[in-house]
Amino acid sequence: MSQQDRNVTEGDVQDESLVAYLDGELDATERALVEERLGADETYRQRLKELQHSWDLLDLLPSPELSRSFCNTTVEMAVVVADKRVRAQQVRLPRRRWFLGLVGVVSCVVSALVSYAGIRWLAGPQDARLLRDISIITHLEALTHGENVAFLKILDRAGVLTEEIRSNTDGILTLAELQSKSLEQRRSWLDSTTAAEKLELASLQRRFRGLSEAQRQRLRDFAKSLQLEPRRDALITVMFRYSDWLSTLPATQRFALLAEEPQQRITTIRRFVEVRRFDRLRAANVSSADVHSVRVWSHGLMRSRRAQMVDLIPEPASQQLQLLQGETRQLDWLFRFYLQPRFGLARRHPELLPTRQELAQLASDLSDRAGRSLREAGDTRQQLRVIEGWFRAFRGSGWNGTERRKLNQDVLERFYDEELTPRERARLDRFRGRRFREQLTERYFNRPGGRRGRGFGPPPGGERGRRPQAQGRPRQRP
Amino acid sequence: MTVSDSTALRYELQDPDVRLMLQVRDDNAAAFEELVLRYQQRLVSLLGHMVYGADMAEDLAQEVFLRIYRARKTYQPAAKFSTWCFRIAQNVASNALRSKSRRREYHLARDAASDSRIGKMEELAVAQSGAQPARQLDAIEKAEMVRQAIGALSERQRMALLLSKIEGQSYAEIAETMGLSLQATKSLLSRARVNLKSLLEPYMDQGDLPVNDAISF
Repeated sequence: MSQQDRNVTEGDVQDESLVAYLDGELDATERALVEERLGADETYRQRLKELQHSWDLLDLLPSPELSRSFCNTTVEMAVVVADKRVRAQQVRLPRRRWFLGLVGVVSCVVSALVSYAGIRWLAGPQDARLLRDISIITHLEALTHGENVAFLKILDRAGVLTEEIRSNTDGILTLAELQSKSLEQRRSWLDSTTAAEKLELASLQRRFRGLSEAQRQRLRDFAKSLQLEPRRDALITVMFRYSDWLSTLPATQRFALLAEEPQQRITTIRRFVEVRRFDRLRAANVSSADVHSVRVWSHGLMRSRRAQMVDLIPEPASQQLQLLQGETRQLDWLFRFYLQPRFGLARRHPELLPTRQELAQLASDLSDRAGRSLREAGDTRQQLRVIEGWFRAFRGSGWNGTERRKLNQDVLERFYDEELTPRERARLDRFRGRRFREQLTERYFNRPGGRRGRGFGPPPGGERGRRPQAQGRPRQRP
Repeated sequence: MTVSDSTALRYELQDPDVRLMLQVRDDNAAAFEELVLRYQQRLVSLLGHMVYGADMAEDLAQEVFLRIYRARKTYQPAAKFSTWCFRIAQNVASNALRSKSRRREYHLARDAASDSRIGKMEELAVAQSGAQPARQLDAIEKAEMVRQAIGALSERQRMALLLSKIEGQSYAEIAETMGLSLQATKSLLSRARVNLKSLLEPYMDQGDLPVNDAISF
């Protein structure tokens, strides 16, 4: 071995020790040796510093953004498509080999002849095809779930999801608007979308392209027939509401439901909604009869304060109130507005708060358990909060249009560290579906600095932060 | 490969993801959804840096999940779930990089586009030229430098480095994921770190660009 080779080898060993030292992978003896040399050798110290510095620069790497539909798409592809594909491939394999060979030869010859002309000719139509289908691609999820106009009409008549979930009205407007735009206007709209929206669209477009031509045509026909319906807006609202609701179901339930016939599906949806409502009411310690009593009480409360309320609410809300048919619906609407934080009931209009006698009257009308909960809640504001919780439990999360309550971050961290008590885990299990996903996404994937360090668990910098210190402290393993 | 009952039981008890995967084996789609949620961002981050492109990373991450799903019936807990998952990711990334290098025309088209690597390198070089000698690189440019330095490492070095940095895996875990001995992993990571330092050194000292040619050892 030459002197040069020996030097290289020694250098490599030195670097290995330094890197392992920085990574906390040395045992006590090796670490002591490295630290001894670091204390005596300035060049060695400098080398350590440079290695650490270049390593730290990796923190600048941006974390790629994930499209919102990734999870749903992947699960559906896997569960629905993957198995079918495997079975189909097993059947077709011998025949397919011949076919592919033949296609390969033919396509080589043909592509050599037409590639230049083809690229020029196809670029325009492909672009136009994308623009023509953009309204479908944008709302692929909802249109796929909506299936057809007849089903939406059945769903609309059944009215099962009217109070369960609030749909995304932006989506409704965009669907109608996009359908009515010219290709040029659609191109401008596409250009105006943000990078994240483009990424999301690209993902949806890939999914759309993955469908067969018959499936794509079915979606186009569906979107077209939806636009021609006299009750177009109502049906589109139902479609989005249904799609949003479906995405809150665990995958197994969703697939089982989608496999059912329309009429049977309505029955199942109704059952799911009722089961969920029952669970929510049980968790809130209240019964349906209690909620009914509270509603009757709220009507009386609103009647006595109606004139003052109408004077206080802003103009657009006042117009919305006037549009509602029937006193009951107006009183319900007023009570929702009354409880909204933006109305500032306790801070700005304390004179409108229910009196002690009114609340005592309500408590006496309720079951023992609910009445006790109300009395023990504390002051008037806290009692109103309890009432609001009961309504939310009855009507679902979007009852009064306020933001949904968030899960405790600490609980989520402990969830992934497997440190939850059975009771806490049971509570988290109730948040399956979209809400759970939103919380996780917010907590683990969308932090401003992006995710770094170990996978799930506390953010870096905490006691489990993975990078060891330059002094060679052994790595903390989870 | 057959896995002993005691090994399988040990991993099942230790790793919640293994427990989920065992449910997936029993055709529990909700468990699969949970696994996708837990691993989607981790895989997209890793694959994004491996293959240089967020868009492609999503497709590859999807391919990883599909492979996992297809293999569910033969799954046996022989290691932590993450180890198995990232081993599949490594195979998928390797295939993608191989087919990417085969399709030279695709690269040529990309290189000609304004967002190509070389294009950006040139832009960065101009940004750092004598016209603005004292100019500090902003965060985006620095990130681009680091990304290019990572891209210049060999595929194995890049994988080991990313598993260590992004996933926080120990040497033993990296060795298991990549199918290497512990000593080989130690050497691989050491070479990766030294190469990374060499690539970023000129930039750290004088503001020069890292070399764009892949380094193989």
